[in-house]
Amino acid sequence: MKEITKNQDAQFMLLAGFIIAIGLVITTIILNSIIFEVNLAIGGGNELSKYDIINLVQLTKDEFRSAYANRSIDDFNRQLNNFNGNLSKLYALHGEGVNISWETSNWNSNRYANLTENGLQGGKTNWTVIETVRNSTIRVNVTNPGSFQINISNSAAGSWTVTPGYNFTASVTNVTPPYSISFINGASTSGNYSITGNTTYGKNFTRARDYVLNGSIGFFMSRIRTNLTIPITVPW
Amino acid sequence: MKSKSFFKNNDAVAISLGFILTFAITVIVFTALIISFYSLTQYMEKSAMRENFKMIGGGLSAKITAVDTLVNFTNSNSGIVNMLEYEFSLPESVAGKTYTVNITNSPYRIIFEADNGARVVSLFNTSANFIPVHIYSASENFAIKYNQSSSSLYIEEQ
Repeated sequence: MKEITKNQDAQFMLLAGFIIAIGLVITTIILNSIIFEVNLAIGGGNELSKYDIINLVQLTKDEFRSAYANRSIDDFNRQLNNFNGNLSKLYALHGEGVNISWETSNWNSNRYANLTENGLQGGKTNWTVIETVRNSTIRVNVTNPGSFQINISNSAAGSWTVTPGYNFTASVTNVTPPYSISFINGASTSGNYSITGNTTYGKNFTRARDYVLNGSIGFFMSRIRTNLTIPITVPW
Repeated sequence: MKSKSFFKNNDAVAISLGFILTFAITVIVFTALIISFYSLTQYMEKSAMRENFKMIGGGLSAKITAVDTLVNFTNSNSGIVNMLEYEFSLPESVAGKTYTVNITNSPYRIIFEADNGARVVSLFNTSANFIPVHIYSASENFAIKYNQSSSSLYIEEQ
């Protein structure tokens, strides 16, 4: 027995055994993760950025409004053609296809927008155009006068409700500021309006609307195809 | 036998018996090793599937939400969605096994199920109506679409 405990001949064998044991443990751990990885089956791909499209719609709206300021349909078409061409090139660099189309039939045939919140027949009929106004000039051209009214009100100091005729222009003097300007029964008629003035915070404002133009925005990526038509009110 | 003498006793079993014992122990240890390795493989397969399903489910719910956001955005601008398609593909098999995806709308859930019992539920939410669908991984390509006339989202095989 003494000889066995004192015998040191096999220490390399023991060392080798120990190393093999550690090696086995490491191999098992690596093997485990390999098995796990092999089982994974997720592939990559281009993902849709919804903000890209929302951004695109906003850009298009701004461009429509800017192009409308040209006051001629030809110039409007020219500016939007330019915009469409440049935008397509820019998006193509990111591997995205973009196409903007538009129609100006309402403008062409002088069909004014409804006096609702979004300018469409089904839009909100009673709505507030602007709040906290200090002074303002209202110009409204109504195609079908009758039930459409403009309400100028200050909750603390009374209100003034007016039923505008075909052409109505007025500077608000009989309501103490700050007041808000609301349209009542906007769905009952169409027309155009322009309200200019400044707010109690001293900022100038313009709220105006003539027509609703339709803009179609096509957006194409490898996995996404979309085409949205958005009514865009001009000039605001 | 007293315990003291038992600990001090250095006589071992016969060589033949020693061999049998060593052999038996080796066989038992080896068998146990193989069995545990097999069950480990099974376990890894299942947990890999679960991880996969979680990833696919997360991706799918993000895609549905993206489509829903666009629909919502268009509607809030009083616009019309003429076409909206978002393609996605599901791996044909995960860890060598096919599976089913059950997308329900009340409540909004994406349920993955495979034959080996791996089951994962992912959650999603939409504001537009979503038509429930049961899809099989055997067909790989699908698309999330929007139907303007019924204002509903649906998934169609490509």
